[in-house]
Amino acid sequence: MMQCLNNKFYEKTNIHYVIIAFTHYSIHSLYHSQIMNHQKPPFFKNWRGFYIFVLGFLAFLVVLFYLLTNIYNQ
Amino acid sequence: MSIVDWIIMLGTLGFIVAYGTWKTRKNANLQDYLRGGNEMKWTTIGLSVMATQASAITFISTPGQAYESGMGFVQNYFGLPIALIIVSAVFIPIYYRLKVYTAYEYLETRFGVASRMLAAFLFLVQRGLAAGITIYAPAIILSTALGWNLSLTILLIGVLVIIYTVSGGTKAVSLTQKWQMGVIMSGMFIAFFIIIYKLPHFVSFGDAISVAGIMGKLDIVDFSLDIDKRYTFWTGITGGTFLALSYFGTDQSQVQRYLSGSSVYESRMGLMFNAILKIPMQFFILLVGVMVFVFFQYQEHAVLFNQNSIDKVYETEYADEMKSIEADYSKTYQEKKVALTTIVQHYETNEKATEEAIKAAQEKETEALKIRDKAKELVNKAVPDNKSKDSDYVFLSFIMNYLPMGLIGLLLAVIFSAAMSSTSGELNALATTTTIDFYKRLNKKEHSEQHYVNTSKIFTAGWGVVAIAFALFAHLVENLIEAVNILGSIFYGVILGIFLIAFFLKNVKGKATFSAAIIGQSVVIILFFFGQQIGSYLLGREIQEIAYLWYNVIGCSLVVLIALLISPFENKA
Repeated sequence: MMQCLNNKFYEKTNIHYVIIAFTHYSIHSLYHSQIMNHQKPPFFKNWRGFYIFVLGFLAFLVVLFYLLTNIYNQ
Repeated sequence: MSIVDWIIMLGTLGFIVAYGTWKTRKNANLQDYLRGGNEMKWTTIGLSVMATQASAITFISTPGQAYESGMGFVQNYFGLPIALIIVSAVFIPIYYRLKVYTAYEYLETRFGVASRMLAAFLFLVQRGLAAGITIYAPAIILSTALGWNLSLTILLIGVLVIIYTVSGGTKAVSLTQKWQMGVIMSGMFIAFFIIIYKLPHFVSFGDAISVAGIMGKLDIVDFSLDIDKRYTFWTGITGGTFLALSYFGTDQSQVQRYLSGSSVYESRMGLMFNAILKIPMQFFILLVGVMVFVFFQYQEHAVLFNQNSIDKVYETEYADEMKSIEADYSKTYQEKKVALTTIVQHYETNEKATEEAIKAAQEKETEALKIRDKAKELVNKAVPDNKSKDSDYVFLSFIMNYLPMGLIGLLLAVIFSAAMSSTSGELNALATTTTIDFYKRLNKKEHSEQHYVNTSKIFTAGWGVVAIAFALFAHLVENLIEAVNILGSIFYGVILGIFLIAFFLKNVKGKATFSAAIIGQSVVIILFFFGQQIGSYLLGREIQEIAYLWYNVIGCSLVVLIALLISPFENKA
């Protein structure tokens, strides 16, 4: 009788464990994949690359504006 | 204004308001109402962030500024991409992790409720005033230029914004802003091509650029370290970074825009969209102003663009003086036009004639500027209650007098759309902060989601009424716009300092930060009143003023440094 109850208990806890673990994993993965995702930016391996590109573009604009200033300054 | 223009203007505005209200009429809970259900894609976020920042004044005043001072103003935005990268890399992940509705909620988790309330309160004061100005500033210009009733213009903008912002909350704000940006950019592109088209047949686009350069309008970048200059590369890259960091990282009207994203990715992409496009967009608006300048080099115009102010002078004893100024301006204009025509026609054939013509054109331009200044002084003397800036009327004057029927309505829709998009973002943020940081935080009773949604709607409408009331009575306060701008600059740096400590200096606690904020704020206020004297004493020469962008740097640096100095004592205690 006790063995039977114990087995049921373990079965139940195992199922609970699985459910909890699954839920935890789902929430965790959902959290990390959708909300706190590490989704890469387009055309770059990581966000750092994208940020460097944006800074490069800023530098390009400054140089372009500087050249325009010098070319048309009379 | 023709009936076609009225139909186009009211039809465009009516469609956007009806679309925003209908599409977002169902809001089940607070998350839907204040964070747009976290469904926004990066394109919507990007356009929404851009539309919130770009007010009607951006599209009325910026071309006028380029007309008068050239394109140097674009340097003000050099710090913006740097700030957006910091917000994207540091601020956004933390806001998402804590699932906050407002930026100020985060401060409570770090420093306690006092810091949260202080920052939220400063935001409400500053943004509440700014919302009134966002409506008032374009309304006063439109009513003066078009002869509309000022109060009705204010009510038209205010009531339309309240309808869809109350109804649909954040989602309505973001969706309408997307359409409004579409109208704004289409209108500006069409205006640009019309200006080019309307230049004399012998002036190509290349010639127009050369003429602008000769007249000193293409001095875009200035690397000088002159503290008296308001816009240089250095003020833009330092002060501009601090200002943009404070605005995009801690001002709820912007934070709310990117927190409506469905993920960190969408929010980051929305900000990077702005980091890449904001400077080219601002450059383009300034270029429109420069092209209007070139257009008016070949098109005779009045000495001042605000015809209303000239008419008022003619009703006073100064009428003869104004007549003489107008005659002088007309003569100078004709001489300048001859010189500029010579330049364009002999640019590649006769070097000597070109050089002489350039010299003559530049001299005549200096002369014309002096005459315009004289006319402005006369207006101030004859009509003392006239507080308008003539450069604000340059672009509007071009729209009303030289655009074909139909396009006038579209361009006026551009100005109204810009006023509405920034006001809706502000009202939405003000209501969110009032609901989340004050009402919900201080109310100990548990309420249903619907209760909080309804409360937010009441606060949105309430702030809308406050903004309209402030706009209606704004003309009673002298130099009001300047006062609001200064107020913003004085507080932004200190608020940013508090946030930077919260994000980066984990060992610094609440009391040290709070004390540093109070000391830093006091020093900034002292500098505001006595900065000129202190600066002149320290540099050993007379300086004109401390450019307002520097207050952001000073306030922020002071808060961080003082907090670091006080912190060890607090930790010991």
